[in-house]
Amino acid sequence: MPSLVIDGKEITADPGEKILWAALRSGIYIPNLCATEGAELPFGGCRLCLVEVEVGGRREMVTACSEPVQEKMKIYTYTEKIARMRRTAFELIMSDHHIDCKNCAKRKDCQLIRLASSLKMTLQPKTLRSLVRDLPVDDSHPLFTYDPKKCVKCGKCVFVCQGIGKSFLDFTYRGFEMVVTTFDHLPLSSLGCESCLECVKVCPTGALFLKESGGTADG
Amino acid sequence: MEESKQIEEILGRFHPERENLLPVLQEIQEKVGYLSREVMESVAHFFHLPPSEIFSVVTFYNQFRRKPPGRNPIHVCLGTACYLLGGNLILDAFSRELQIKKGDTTEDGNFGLESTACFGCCNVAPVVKINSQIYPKMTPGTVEEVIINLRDKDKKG
Repeated sequence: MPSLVIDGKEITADPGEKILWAALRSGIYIPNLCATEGAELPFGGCRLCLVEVEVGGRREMVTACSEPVQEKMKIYTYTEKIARMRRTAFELIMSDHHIDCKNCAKRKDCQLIRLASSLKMTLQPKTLRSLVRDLPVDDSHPLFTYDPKKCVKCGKCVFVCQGIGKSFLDFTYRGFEMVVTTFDHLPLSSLGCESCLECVKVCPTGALFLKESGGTADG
Repeated sequence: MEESKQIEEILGRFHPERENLLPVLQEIQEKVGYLSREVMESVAHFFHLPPSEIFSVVTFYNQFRRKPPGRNPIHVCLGTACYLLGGNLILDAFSRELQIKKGDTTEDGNFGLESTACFGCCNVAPVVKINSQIYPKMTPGTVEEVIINLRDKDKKG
């Protein structure tokens, strides 16, 4: 089993395991949002799990969710540089997130709120303008609602739906215009979804939420 | 040839392997002019891929269109030089004047609106290309004029 040093603490990990999961198992917290344990091809989209790795005397910035552990690896989970990059990443995520905690179904269990407090940041970006897009809410499904204005494009719903062989959701368009949606924007109720609700369970924000949770999405 | 026959013919020449997806979409668009919902569905069926994935690919690339092109496709240049000289304002002016968004076609099928990335005539920026004719040094004010002239020509022609 490879042994490595994270922030001066020596731990062991499974061969091929990604840094993030090895660290979390050993009680070392690395912020993360889009990571899924066991993902064959980690998405690495949120950029919150950036860590510095020392290999052969050189320091490199890598995403902990996608970088496999190596014997004698030295990892730093918090440096000035990392802090700066994480702050920018979090501000970018929040800059097009519709902040409406008062009416949000996930206000009691929101990954963004937890991240903000661990990063010692506010939800509202301080250095970036807020650019929330005017996207329509899909209210068609009997059990859950999809509000793309709250989506942070972590892709968890896309990958979980793909994993069970359905793939009703995917990333569409590009750059700032990117949105997670269905084929040709068809309503969720029209796709033959069997309501396994896995997408709702993995959604870290109030983008996908159960109707019974009482949250609202303004149209 | 009927549209569905054309598509069948194109699909018949390819193996349903992932790497053939882009060439197939490109050929269909070339023949038919655009990729409708039905076309995307048959392509998904052919490749045994979820329709959402085809939609993802089609929306990712600017070259694919999902609506029939207008008889007068308007290409507004947003290349660096045109962009700096207000290409976006020209696009906005066309969008306002025709009441369509980028990528759409007017209801009468007369005009389509697209943005592109440089025709190589940056010296007369900002430019617009309509039916292979370049309109140089556009301003939001000349947009209306261009549209009126094209409408007139359409009526006469």
